[in-house]
Amino acid sequence: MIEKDEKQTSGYRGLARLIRYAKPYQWQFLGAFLILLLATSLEMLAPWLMKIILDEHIAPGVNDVMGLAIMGSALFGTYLGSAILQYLQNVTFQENALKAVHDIRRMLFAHVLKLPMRYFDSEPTGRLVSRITNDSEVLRQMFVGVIPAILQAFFRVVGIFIAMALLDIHLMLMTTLLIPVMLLAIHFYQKISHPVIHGVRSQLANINSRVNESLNGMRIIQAMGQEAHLQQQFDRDNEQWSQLKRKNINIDSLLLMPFTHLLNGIALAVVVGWFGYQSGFSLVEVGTLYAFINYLGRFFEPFRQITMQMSSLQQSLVASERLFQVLNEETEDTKHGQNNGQSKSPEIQHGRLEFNNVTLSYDSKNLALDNVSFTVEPGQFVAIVGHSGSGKSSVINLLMRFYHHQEGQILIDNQPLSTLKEDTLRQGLGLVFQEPYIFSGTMAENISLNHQKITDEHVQAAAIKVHADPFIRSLDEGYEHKPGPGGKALSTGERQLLSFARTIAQNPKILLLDEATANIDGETEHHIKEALITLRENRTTIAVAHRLSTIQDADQILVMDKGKIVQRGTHEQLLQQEGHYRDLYLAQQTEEQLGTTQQSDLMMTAVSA
Amino acid sequence: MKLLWKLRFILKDYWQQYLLAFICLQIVSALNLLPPWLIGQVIDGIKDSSLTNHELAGYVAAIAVTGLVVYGFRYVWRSQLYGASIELIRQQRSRLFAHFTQLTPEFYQRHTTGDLMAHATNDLNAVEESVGVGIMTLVDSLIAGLTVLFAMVFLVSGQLTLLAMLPFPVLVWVTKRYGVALYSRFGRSQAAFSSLNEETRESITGIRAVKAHQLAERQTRRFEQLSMESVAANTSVARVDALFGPSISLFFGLSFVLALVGGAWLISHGQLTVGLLTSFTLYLGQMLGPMLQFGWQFNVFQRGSASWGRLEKLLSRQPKVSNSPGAQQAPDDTSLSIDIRSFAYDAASDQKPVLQGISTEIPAGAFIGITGRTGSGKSTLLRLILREFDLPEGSSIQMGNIPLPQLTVESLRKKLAWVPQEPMLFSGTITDNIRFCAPDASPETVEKAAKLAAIDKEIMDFKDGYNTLLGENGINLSGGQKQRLALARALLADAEILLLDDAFSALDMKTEARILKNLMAMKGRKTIILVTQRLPELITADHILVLDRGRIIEQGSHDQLLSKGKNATDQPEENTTEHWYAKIFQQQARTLLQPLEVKPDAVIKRSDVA
Repeated sequence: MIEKDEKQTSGYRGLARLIRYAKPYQWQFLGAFLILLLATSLEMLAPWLMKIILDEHIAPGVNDVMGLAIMGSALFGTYLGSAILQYLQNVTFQENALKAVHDIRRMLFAHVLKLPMRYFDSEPTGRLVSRITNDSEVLRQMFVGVIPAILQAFFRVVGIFIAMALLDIHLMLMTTLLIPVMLLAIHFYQKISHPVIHGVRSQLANINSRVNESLNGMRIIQAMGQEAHLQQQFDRDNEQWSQLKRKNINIDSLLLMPFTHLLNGIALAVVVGWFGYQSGFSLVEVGTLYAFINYLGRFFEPFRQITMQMSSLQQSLVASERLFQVLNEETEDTKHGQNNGQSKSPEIQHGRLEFNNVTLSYDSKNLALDNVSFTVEPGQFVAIVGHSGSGKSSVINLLMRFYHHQEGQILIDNQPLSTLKEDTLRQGLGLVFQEPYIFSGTMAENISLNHQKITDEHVQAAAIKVHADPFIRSLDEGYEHKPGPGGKALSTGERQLLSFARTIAQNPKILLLDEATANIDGETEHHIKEALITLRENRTTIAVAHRLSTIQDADQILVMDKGKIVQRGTHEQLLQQEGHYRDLYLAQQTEEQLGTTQQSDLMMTAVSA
Repeated sequence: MKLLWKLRFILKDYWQQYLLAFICLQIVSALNLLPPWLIGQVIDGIKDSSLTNHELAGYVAAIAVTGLVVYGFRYVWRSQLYGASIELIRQQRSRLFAHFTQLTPEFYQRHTTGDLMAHATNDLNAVEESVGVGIMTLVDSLIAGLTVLFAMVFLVSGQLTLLAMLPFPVLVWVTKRYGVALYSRFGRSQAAFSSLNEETRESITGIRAVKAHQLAERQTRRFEQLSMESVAANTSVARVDALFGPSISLFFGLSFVLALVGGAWLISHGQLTVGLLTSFTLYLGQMLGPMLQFGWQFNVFQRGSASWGRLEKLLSRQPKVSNSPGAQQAPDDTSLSIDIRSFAYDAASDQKPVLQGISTEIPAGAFIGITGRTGSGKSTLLRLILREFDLPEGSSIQMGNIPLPQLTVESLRKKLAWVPQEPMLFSGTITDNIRFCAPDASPETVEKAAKLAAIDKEIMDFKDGYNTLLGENGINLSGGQKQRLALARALLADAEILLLDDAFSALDMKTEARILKNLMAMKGRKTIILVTQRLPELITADHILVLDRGRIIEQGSHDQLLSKGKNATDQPEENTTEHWYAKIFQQQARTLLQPLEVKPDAVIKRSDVA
């Protein structure tokens, strides 16, 4: 219980923090409040005018037609005025809320991109995306739904009470008794409906995940003849859902709309009784009774609104809490900040690389790199091989500063890696991914990546160098072609060539290849092999190799196993030794044999197409 | 509305609940007429000073009692009507799930899980809304609207009603216009939001590239631009959306003013009392709800109708494989005889056949190996034995000399235990997964199966042992562990025929050898059909089929196949399939069997079993 309360307060604190993001728009919001206040006042004026019309123009009999017309116009005027003001108020609120949410969203996005790699390993993509887009969308509901509803409700209730007090102070005081009743009802409703609503939701989530899982595993379910059994389980969940849902409906029917109508009815009886009773002693004006009934009818509306907004408020609390969890994650920059000033050279000039006794652990339990040392002289080609999980990709992860090592030293041109400026590092090191990543935007943008130094000429020259130019030109708008999300319309080979062009245009001193040349048709494979040689010219190259056939001309091959370098040497040297490298080489030859059908089939379809 | 007609057969089952709800609704509407009328009477009484305390008490009591009675009836109709809609959706959801379990792999190849999930969630929700809130608002707006109209005309004045109702058609027309405008603007805002989502997804999935190429600024700029577009689209939605409330209160206000002025005129002509005018304005207030709902429910029904159309289409899909009339139980003789002339997944299009001219006999209790390069049709053969697909005319698979289509699907599959290439596990405990096909199996049976699949020790190493909860599709297990759990699951089924589709690909040699040894102990009692690319697994097989591009290119026992390739060269040339088995075996023996040669006893044990 205490825990839950704490959660609540932290949620409200988050909410308060969020409201601060509305500060740039405070005057607009203030304006909207004032308009809202004015609109509500006009609304409250209408029953009063009706009272005057009833008492002065209708009840005594119509003798002043002009006066009636004027009063009628005035009444319509209040409706018109309040309608216009309500519209203005609503639009102002919405527009500024949208801007405030945009600010939050932008800040969140920029923040997420600065988070360290480690964060992305543990957080599923879908969830992060949902934080940035969906959760901030929920917040909008708070700005445009919850806050105005609460304010409006407050204004209305105050307005109604003022009007009632002016009409009949005794009755007004009696009406105040309704407030605790309503609040109690809301509280009571929250309390008993919350677990039920929660139950409905989680049961529905259960059902959906069961359907999802069953759809994925349908073949095995059918092969094992378990359809009936699963149906039973499903029906059980489904039955529970329907029971909870019906309970939910029943609670709603008992405590929401029908209940406020009940209160309204009883209050109506009291009011009518009071006025009727009064009429025995004094002159009661019909209009007053009418106006009172009218105000009473309006009195319940704000509470209904607030009850409706309660779940929005809950969701906003949860969403804001989640948002701040992300915002509170420490970003990369703060860690590098202190070192920024110390960098001596703005550029990596030679491309010499050195690992001295480097140890890395991702989870502080298992070592991904265990005391690794090697040196790469400028212009050399070094390949790293090993089973998956042997630690070969960790070398690249460290060089790209995706992660930080715990022990040892990494030097680039004899300077510690950590002292290099972000710009220097990213320009000096070019990473070619195993799965080339294509961004939305044009082909040219995908090569230049919008770096201003890279002109259109650079882009084309780079594309020509890696044989990407012909296929780009063959596309609809050539370099202005937009390959669409993820570049799915391009073949793997084309994507790879595009990423090569990107790297050439960047012209890094050190090239990191996370190499993969699987499933590429014959012609592109040939281009890629050639392009790889072009890429390596005048650069220090470190290649994480999956297929040994591509690294036979390396100056040095490092064989890794369980985070350690277990063998090093050239291809010929290593083949003569007994050990990992030779095993790996032989095993791969077999695999390549087994895989040939697929490759030749692909080639056949390519030819026939 | 069309939707209700289409749903009539389903709605029919709930007619009692709906009828009760409608009756209560009508009672509520009628009772609601009472308080305004009573108030009017009180006002007239006050005005004429003819109101006695006794009368007053009666009026007051009547108003209060009406409130209470209405409360009761409201509760009943709501719980009946919504209860019926919930029940209806429960049934439809269950029906949809049952239908899903009947549809064959042919269907699942064409539809993604995501699409099907959308049917099971969004479409069902839309239908639920139609049969619940939709029917409620439709009926409520008709019943309540007409009842109030009736009261206004007959209790107060037809002329006044006509006058006061004048703005209403305009209101309906205006809100409908807004609705249309809102719809298209809302579409734009949704599109803007989804491209924002897409952009975010792109940056986050490509976070390594974003960091490596220093693209944070570029991506943030693009994000900002899209977010601004979304703001603009949402603003344009807000501008229309905000029109609804004020327009309604404006037209309603107009109606009030007309009623007051018209009422005043009627009163001055002695055709109306002040009390009745008051009653009339109160009735006018009751018209607001039904008027609003009437426009709104069109939307609900439209959406529900589209959703139901999709669901109906889905539910009308017939499973491609089903029990034929007069299908019999699978025979005790589990020998298989396969004769496939040609089979393609999509017979309609001119697809290349996946299997051609496959003819073989598999006696009960035999150990059959199937091998060949990737894509040669090995898995397809197993799928046909499982009868995931039916064979075309001229081809057949028979069990105990009865063609598979003449057996009931259930009894056939009881005879088979299949371990797929991709081990698919379910959320739940390890025990639940192992005893998937026999939920009542004892812990001992489960442990025995785990032992046979060589996973028992690893399970015991987990903190919760057999009660360890697996995430969706066993997300917390390694590939090898998943494969062995899938094997344990198949072994527990204790079926006569074991179908293993490359089921050991993620296992190391030692574990593989242990499992093979356990399997060999069942030889003679169970038919084992093993698809593999690791040829040493097949040394003890009774018969081996080598497939290539859907045809058998070699067959025989290990020794026969090996001796055929005696003269073959060591290094196979690309794309020749001659003596494929022998060549590949020699290669694999050199690399894969090395660890076994270090420990010669492992090999001996194998031959012992054989």
